[in-house]
Amino acid sequence: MRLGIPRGFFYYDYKPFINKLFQGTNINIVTGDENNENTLKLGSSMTVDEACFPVKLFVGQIDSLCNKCDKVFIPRIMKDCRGRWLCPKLLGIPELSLEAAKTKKLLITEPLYFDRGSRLKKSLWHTLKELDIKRGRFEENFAAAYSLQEAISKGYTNAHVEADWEFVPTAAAGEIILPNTKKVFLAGHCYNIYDKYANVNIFKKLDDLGIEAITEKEVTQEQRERAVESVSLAKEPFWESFIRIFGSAVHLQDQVDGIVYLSSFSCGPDAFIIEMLKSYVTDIPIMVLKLDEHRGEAGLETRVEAFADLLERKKAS
Amino acid sequence: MIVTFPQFGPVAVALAKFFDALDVPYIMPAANNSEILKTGAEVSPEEMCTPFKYMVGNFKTAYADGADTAVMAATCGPCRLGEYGQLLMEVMSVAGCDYRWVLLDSPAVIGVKEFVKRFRVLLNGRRTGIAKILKNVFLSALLICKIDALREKAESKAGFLCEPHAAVRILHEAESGLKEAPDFQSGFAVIRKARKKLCRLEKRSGANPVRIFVTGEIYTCVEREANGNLEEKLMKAGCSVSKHISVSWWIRHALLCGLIPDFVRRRLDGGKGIPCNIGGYGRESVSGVLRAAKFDGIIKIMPSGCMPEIVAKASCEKLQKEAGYRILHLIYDEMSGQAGYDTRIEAFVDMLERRRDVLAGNRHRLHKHRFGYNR
Repeated sequence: MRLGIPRGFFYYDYKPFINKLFQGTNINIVTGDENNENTLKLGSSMTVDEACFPVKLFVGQIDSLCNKCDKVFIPRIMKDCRGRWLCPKLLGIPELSLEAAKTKKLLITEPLYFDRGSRLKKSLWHTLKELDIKRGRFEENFAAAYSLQEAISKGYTNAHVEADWEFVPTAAAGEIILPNTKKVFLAGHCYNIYDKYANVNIFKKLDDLGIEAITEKEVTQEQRERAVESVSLAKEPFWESFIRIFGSAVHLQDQVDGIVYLSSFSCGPDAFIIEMLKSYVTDIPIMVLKLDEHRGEAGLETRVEAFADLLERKKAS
Repeated sequence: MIVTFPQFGPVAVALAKFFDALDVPYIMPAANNSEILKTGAEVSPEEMCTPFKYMVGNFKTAYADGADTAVMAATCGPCRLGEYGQLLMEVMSVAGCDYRWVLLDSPAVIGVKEFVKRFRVLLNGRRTGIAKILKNVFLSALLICKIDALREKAESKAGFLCEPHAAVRILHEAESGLKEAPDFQSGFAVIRKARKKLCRLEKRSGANPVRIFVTGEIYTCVEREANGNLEEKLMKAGCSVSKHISVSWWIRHALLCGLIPDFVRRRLDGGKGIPCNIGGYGRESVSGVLRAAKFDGIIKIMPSGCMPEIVAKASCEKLQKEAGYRILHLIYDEMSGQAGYDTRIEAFVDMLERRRDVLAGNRHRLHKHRFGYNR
C-alpha cells in the first residue's frame, strides 16, 4: 500500500517520526514532489481564498498525491512535545483541505497531542489500525518514533536530514566558491525556509551575495527557551513557532550580522512574532520578506541585495 | 489610579457598573467608530486582526483622557487573542501610552492565586470583602445576560412587527438609558421597561419573515461597530434574526463546556463539524451552522485574517456545497466600505425570500423590502 506524505507543514519536522512509525510494515511512504507552479494553481483553486500561501501549497500537494497513492496521511498535530500549540490554521488543516478530500483518500488522524505520549499512542492507533498494521509492530515503532521526535523537538537531532532540504553551495564550471563574509539568521517557519519554491531559493540568493544563512536548527530548544525567559515577557508564550523563531533570534543576535525574516502573506503568528522581534532585537538589522502567490522574484532579489549592501556598510563603519 | 478597559458590547456597560459598585475610578472607553479604528490602525501591526486595532484605539483615546491602568482579559489558547495582552503592551509603549497592565488570564491556566493577585491591583490597596466582589460579579453577569436577552428578543421579533424600525429604536433607547443608569438595579429597570415596550409593539398579521442566523467570530458578533450594524440592518429589512455567539452565550459556554465530554460534542455535530478546539470559537460557530438548518439563511461574519474562522469558513463552504446550507460570508476589515456590505446583505435577503416563494410555487412574487424605507 502506498501512503502519501504531502511536502509541507509537518513534513519538515515530523518526517522522521512518520518514517519510523511505518518502518517494517507493508506500507510504502511516498513523498510529494517539490512544489511547483502546478501545485500552487491546484491548491489555490481548492481552498478558501483567505488561507495563507503555505496552506495553498499544502492542499495542492494533497491533490497531486491523491492521484499517485492509495491514501494520503494528514496528521492533525495540536501540540508539540513541549506542550505548545501550533498555529490555528495548522490545527484545522484537514478542514482547509476538505475540497481535495473528494477522492475520500485522506487519512486524517484524531487530534495529536505530542506532549502526552500515551494519549498520542491511542489516537494514532485509532487511525492507523485501519491500515492493517499489527499491534505489536505499531507499539515497537511508536516507542522508537516518539523518542526520536522528542530529541528533534529539543533540537538535539535534526529532522531536516531526512526531509532533504540541505543547501550546499555548488560552483558552476570555471567558478570558485569564495568564503562568505557575512552571516544572517534566516528566521521564519520551517515550511517557508526549507521550501525552495515558496522562498524562491533564498539560500542560493544569499549565498551568491556572500551571505551565509543559518537557521533555527543551530539552536537547541533549551537555549531558545532560556533566551525567551531572559527577556521576561508578561505572558507565557503558547505558540511553538514563537519559541522557535523568537527564542533562536534572541539567542543568535550576538552571533549574526542581521536577520532575514521569511513570512508568508497574512500569516497570523508572524504578525505577532515580527512585532516582538522588532521590540526585543534592536541591535541588528531585520528584514521581513513577505512571500505570496505572486512570487515576485525580482522584487525579492532587489531587497536582498539592498540588505547585503547595508550589512556591508555596517561592517565597514 | 484610573482604570480603563476595551469596548466589548454589553461588557463595557456591565464593567462600568461593576467598578462603580466597588468604588474603583474608571474611564469608560469611547464608543467604537471609524475614528477609533483609524487611531488604532495607525500604531498596530498591519496584519493583526481588526479587534486588536479597535482595542488599541480604545486604549489610546482613554489614555488621552487620563486613564493609567488597563484591564485586559485573555485566553491562553491557540488563537491570537491570547497574545493580545503582550502585544498591546508593546504597541502602547511605542505609542507613548505608559499604562499599568492588569492581564486577567483564565484562572484555570495561571492559577486562582495569581488571578486574585492581579485582580487586587485594581482595588488599589482598599479592603473589599470577597462577598461584595462576588455579588457584583454575579450582578454584572446578570446584567450582560439581560441585555443580550433583550436584544435577542427584539431581533427575533423584528420581522413580525408592523414597523421593525420601532424595535431598533427601543434598543437604542435602552442602550443610552443603560449608560446613564447609576447602578445595577436601575440598569435592570431600564431593561424591564424596554421589554414591556417591545411587547406592546403592534404585530403584522400573517407575517412570515425571512429567518436569518448570524454566527462567526465573537468580537465581530458582539461589537456592533465591528460588523457595521449588521443585525439592525437585517431587522430594518424585516428579517427575524437569531444570533448565535454573544457574551451571554460565552458565559454559558465557559461554565458548561467543561462538563460536556469531547466525544459527546463530536456526536452532537454528527461528525460534520470540527472535531477539536482550533482556537477562538471556530469550532462552535461551525456547530452553530450545523444546527441552523431550519433557518432560511446563515450569515457568517469574521474580521479579516481571523485564523480559526478561516478554518471554519472552509468547513462551512463544504456544507454549503454538499448539504445545501445558504451561507453568506462577510469579512470585515479597516476599509469600512459599508455600501458594498449593504448590497450583499440586501441581495442575500432578497434571494432567500425569492427562494422561499419559488419553493412555495409562487415563481414571480417578490416582496418589496423595507430597505430604504427610512423613518
